[in-house]
Amino acid sequence: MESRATRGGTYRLVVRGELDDRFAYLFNGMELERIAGTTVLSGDVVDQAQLHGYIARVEELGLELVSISQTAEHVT
Amino acid sequence: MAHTTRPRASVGSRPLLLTKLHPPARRDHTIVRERLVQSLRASVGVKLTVLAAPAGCGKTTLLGTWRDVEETLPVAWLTLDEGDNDPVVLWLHIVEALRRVCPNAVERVRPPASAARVVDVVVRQLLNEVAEQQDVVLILDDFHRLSAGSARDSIAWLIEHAPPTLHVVLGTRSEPALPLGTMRVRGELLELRAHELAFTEEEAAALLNGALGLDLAPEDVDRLVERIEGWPAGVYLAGLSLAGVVDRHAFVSSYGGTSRHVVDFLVDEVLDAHDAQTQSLMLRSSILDRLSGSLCDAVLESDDSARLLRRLARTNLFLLPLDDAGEWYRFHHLFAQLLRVELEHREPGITQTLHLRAYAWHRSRGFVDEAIKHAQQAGAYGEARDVIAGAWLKTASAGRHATVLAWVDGFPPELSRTDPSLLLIRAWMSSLAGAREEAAAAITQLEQLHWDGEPPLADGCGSLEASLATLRGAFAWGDVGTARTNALRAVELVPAGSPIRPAATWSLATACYFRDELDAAERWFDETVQLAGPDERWLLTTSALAYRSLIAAERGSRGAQRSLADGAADVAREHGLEEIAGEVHVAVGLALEADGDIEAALESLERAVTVLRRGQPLDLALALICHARVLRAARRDVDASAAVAEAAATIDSCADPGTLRRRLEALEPRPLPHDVDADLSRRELVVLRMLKGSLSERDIGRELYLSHNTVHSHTKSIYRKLGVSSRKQAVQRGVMLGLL
Repeated sequence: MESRATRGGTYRLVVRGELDDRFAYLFNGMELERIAGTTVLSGDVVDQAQLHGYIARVEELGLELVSISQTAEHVT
Repeated sequence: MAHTTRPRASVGSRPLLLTKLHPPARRDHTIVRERLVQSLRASVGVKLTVLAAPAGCGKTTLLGTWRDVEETLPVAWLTLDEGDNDPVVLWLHIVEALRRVCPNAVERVRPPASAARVVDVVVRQLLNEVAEQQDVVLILDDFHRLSAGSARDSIAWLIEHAPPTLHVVLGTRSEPALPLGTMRVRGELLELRAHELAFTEEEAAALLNGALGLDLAPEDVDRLVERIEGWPAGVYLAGLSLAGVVDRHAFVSSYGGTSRHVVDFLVDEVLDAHDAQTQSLMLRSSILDRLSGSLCDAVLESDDSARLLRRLARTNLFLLPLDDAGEWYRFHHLFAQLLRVELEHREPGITQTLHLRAYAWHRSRGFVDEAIKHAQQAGAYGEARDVIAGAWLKTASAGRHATVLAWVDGFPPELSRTDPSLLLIRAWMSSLAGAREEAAAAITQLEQLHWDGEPPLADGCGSLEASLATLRGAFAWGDVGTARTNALRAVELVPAGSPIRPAATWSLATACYFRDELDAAERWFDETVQLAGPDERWLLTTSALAYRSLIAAERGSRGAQRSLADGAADVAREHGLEEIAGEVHVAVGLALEADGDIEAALESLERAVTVLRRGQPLDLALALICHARVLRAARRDVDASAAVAEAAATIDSCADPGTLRRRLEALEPRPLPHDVDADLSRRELVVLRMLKGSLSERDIGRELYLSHNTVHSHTKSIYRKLGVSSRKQAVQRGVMLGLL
């Protein structure tokens, strides 16, 4: 059964400032790329709870969130 | 009633975490930010002050220094954490925080015994007391750690209803879910946000050159502040990094020339400023929420952590002391995250081992919450389940259902949906919390497991059938016949030594009582008292005594009726169960009536009804029938009719109300009011009666255990049927028609 809360997808989170690859540890293996003074985290998110967990992680580190977008929706 | 099956009711088992009440102490590196302290002094002119800013903006430090220099006001402090999502835990700590700064204000406030009663009892009492006091400030730091739910709602309620003498201050990373817009317009709100909390050049210089003694050139300070955009944690990290650097100007320039994030750039340098032993302590203890020397020794398998922590806390503001004794500390959340990243980088995979050691340390010292959490983080689910199995009964009897449910939710779903112990605990907790559907879902999943014995379940039963029978017997949900069948089976199957044995005998006793099988009921209640008393199962004890008093009353044994009611009331009072055990107030009320003290009797019965509106329907109907009878004797016919109507509606909702309908009819010689009125349903009559009072629809919903929407649709339907368009008209028309 697919509901709003269980829907996952591929997401892209952009935060200001460049972060080392080791920070990927906090984002459960999302890919980390440094682009022009920002860090782009991208990868699969299983559900909304995990996505909100990542946003909370950004918040905990005092990072500035520039954007979040879904680049693909999972069809199950 | 639902709560009566709660096995242990000792109020002594409440977990007060004193470290949460400890305001951050001012230390060598702390700078007093005078302009912000001045702003905060205006808090006393408003209802609510919100410091909303990202991690590392210095919210906690600022609130701490303000509290330090504030001389005229009592300022209570509480640091919130995830555990406070249990309203019982939250209010226990709020009451204690206030007690510490103004003992008079909370003298008469009882700590909460049950989540359901928190707002109704504790918060209202507290507000009444505080209203009579001088001004007091309540700081709730880390407010963002409360998630949506009843705990957070209770804070919103507190703020909405706060008297002018109470000033709430929230430190939060995210915008609090409160009606800030309205409060802003009314001038009730003071806000400090990230741009105000950012360091000015002067403040940065005071920290870097004053407190840290770095002797930076003014243009280097300016350059850092500009590059870090005044972010206090970043400036402080830079300061700590610079401490070990010889050519500071070159360092500042090189940092200024990169686009790396400050947290990334600096953590290595901060660590490198310490010896290897301290570095290891910082990295490995970063998995802990709170740390002490003994705990760190266990996690690091070392022996000098207490000294290292003391030394580190003197020179690093990111390690916060949590008491005056220098025993407990915590890392600033942001810094802890940085350390964890570094730990995983330097020692990949070691966190599991560290969590296991932390679990063992906490478990051996009886810190149940932390033991469970660390075991779950280590993936040691068997160990976590064992701790829960040993602790859930006691925790649940202190009213902390939400805590127990959070433990169960900490397992991966594939485990919590298939483990019989975890499912059983979920079923008990949901039932106690009155969540009928969730309880039913857990029971269905349990049945589908086809689990057959070995090892014993979390309730000490060796058979799932016995556990389920007890559960179904104890929570009748208005079906006496089914409850009795299950209770009979439970009494047969649950072994004598099991901790749920008295729940089984109590279930059978109540089922018999509601069928007027008084001899059998008396026998089983008596056995319940014998079993539950020595085992300190106070809720079962007080309930069984109360029912025995009711039975004695029906037999005309006045002496026994009175002494049993007194006994029940004593146990309830002594163990903080007066807001849970509604049947005790029924027994006390009827005993008072027998003594001829009708006013006191009515007071007790009213209280019984209020308490039981959140309990099981059978108990509520019983209390309403007793209440109606005494009201009628007191010639309060209007109130009596309303009580009858509510009793009838409650009985109608029961699949098998036993002999309750006959008891109601015996009481009511005249036709029920709904036969002669403007076709209002019984539920609508109840709502109409409540509309006569001053409660809002939302509060009426709370009283009647209905959703706000349901109450609203009843109200609309009442208006339509009575041909009126306002609440006032509805009440007038109701009086005219003799409905009120």
